[in-house]
Amino acid sequence: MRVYFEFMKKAVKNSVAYRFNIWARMLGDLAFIIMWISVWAALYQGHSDMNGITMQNALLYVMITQLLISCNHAAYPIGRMEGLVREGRISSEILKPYDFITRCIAEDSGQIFSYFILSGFPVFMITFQFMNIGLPIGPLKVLLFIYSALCGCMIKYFIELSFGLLSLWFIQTRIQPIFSFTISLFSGAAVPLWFFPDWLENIANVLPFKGIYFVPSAIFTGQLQGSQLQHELLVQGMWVVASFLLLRWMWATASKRVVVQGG
Amino acid sequence: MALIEINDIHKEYVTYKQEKGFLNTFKGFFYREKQIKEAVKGISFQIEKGEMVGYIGPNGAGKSTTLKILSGILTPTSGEAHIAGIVPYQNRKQHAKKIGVVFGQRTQLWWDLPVIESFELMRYVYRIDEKTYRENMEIFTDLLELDQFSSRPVRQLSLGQRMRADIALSLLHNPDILFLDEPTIGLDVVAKQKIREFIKQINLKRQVTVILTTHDMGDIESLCNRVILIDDGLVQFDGEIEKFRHTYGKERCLVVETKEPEDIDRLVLDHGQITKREGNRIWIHFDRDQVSPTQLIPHITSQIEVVDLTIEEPSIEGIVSRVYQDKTKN
Ligand SMILES: Nc1ncnc2c1ncn2[C@@H]1O[C@H](COP(=O)(O)OP(=O)(O)OP(=O)(O)O)[C@@H](O)[C@H]1O
Ligand SMILES: [Mg+2]
Repeated sequence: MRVYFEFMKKAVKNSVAYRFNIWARMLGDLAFIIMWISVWAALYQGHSDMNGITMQNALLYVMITQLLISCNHAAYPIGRMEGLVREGRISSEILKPYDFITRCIAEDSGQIFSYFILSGFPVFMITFQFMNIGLPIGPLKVLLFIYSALCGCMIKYFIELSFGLLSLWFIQTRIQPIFSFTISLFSGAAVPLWFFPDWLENIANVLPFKGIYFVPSAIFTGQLQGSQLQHELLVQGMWVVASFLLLRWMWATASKRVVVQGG
Repeated sequence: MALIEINDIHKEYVTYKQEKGFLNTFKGFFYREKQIKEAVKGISFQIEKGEMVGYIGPNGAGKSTTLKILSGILTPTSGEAHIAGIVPYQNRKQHAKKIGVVFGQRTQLWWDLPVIESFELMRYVYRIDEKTYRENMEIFTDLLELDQFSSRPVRQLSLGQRMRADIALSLLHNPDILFLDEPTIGLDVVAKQKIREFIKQINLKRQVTVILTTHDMGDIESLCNRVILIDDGLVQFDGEIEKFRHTYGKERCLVVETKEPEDIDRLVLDHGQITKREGNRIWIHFDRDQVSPTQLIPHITSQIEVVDLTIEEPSIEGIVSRVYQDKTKN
């Protein structure tokens, strides 16, 4: 266990070491929040609500989603795998007496954690204060939100790392944009599922991706309640398990048929 | 049973033709043209504990492929390998604790971290106790001057420094066997010397078994008591270095620099032949068994005025190409 903790520590140290990265990230996070707030404010002009969603709710949704996106994007498992395979470094990973997947998770959670503390969270708090919107949920819901956000993070990470493992079979740069777009659409990263036409929402409901941003953000805005909330959390939990099993299975298969590139 | 035993190992690489264009990529999901490359075609050898073996052969001979199989990265298509009773590619993690691996062309160090932090991390990866760790770091500092650059990030190191760090790192957990794939590639003479000396010491003091591939005859001469020469995926020679030298390394090259270029035309040789000429310099190849340099040199200086003389040892590529020529002749 100690070794994984050391990997996490190393990632934290690494992120802190590059100060410029942190400033760049903060600016980026802030720019995106402001941009989305302006977009939704403009869309709501003259309407008090759309599809039963108030402007306040929509803005809150955007802000919290941006925080989650900032955290989730702190790790880039697809790029990591591609790099390891392209440069042949996967060979030394295979030869280490640790579990590669756990090692990736440890390192990336260290990175996600540091960017959350150093950039995502402060930027969110600043905009939250500035917008002067009250928190619509109580402490119990906040805990549920945190739980759900963590689940979302896991779903995204496990699926993306599984996708990244495909580079042990072939280079998938060509289909990656399609993959990323699918995730970003169905997770509710840009547009909440509330505003989806029925047919699109039906598709989103059977995919794992809405658990990434939409479910936690909907909890945060107080829109998800009662039995519906329970149902969503249950489904989300099932997707965490399913995506983890997928990842494990992929790695078990992939590590058996590793072909290392280059001299 | 020998420490390392491999028996009739074959390795085929399967690749697929990559077609350009989006439609072809799409088609590629369903049908791809298979290409099979047999890199290793039935290799067997045994290596005892404490041996230092030079594993040589021309580019593409299958050296790296063999080392990848021995270290457990690749699974052979057929044949079997046993190292200290373990099948490397079936029991990777267990095997990994007993071996050190360096692929000279890439590093195991973390690119962004100071060297020392990679070492610290490895301490946890291999669960190395405090005492062993300290002892080893002392040795590395003594022999490789690791302390000179241990606080610098790896990306700022020179190639020689990086290689020293890489080799030290591979030995941190006191492995029984060390696999080195071109450990001196791209290094200057001093750096090469340092690394050779270190490997020699480690082998002497700890009985570490070393298998190394290289294109530098110097590595082999200063380190190995045995060479295995492979070509085109097959073992061509396996034996003592002396026997190897005797069998293949008879040819030497004398480089002569004359005062006047015209002098060269006057030169008559009874042994050896001029293989290259450039201005006032000539290259004379001769067989050590037929004529010794002490005979050849006076023979030349008695005829023409010589400014400079050097004897070139046969390069590994030279020897390999000789083996090649012999093979096609037979
Ligand atoms: N991943 C791969 N896919 C397909 N073919 C490969 C792969 N790796 C190696 N080969 C082929 O297998 C053969 C042996 O390669 P290998 O890397 O073992 O040679 P080598 O003896 O180490 O050569 P060098 O001295 O150049 O390092 C070569 O013909 C090479 O092209
Ligand atoms: Mg090689």
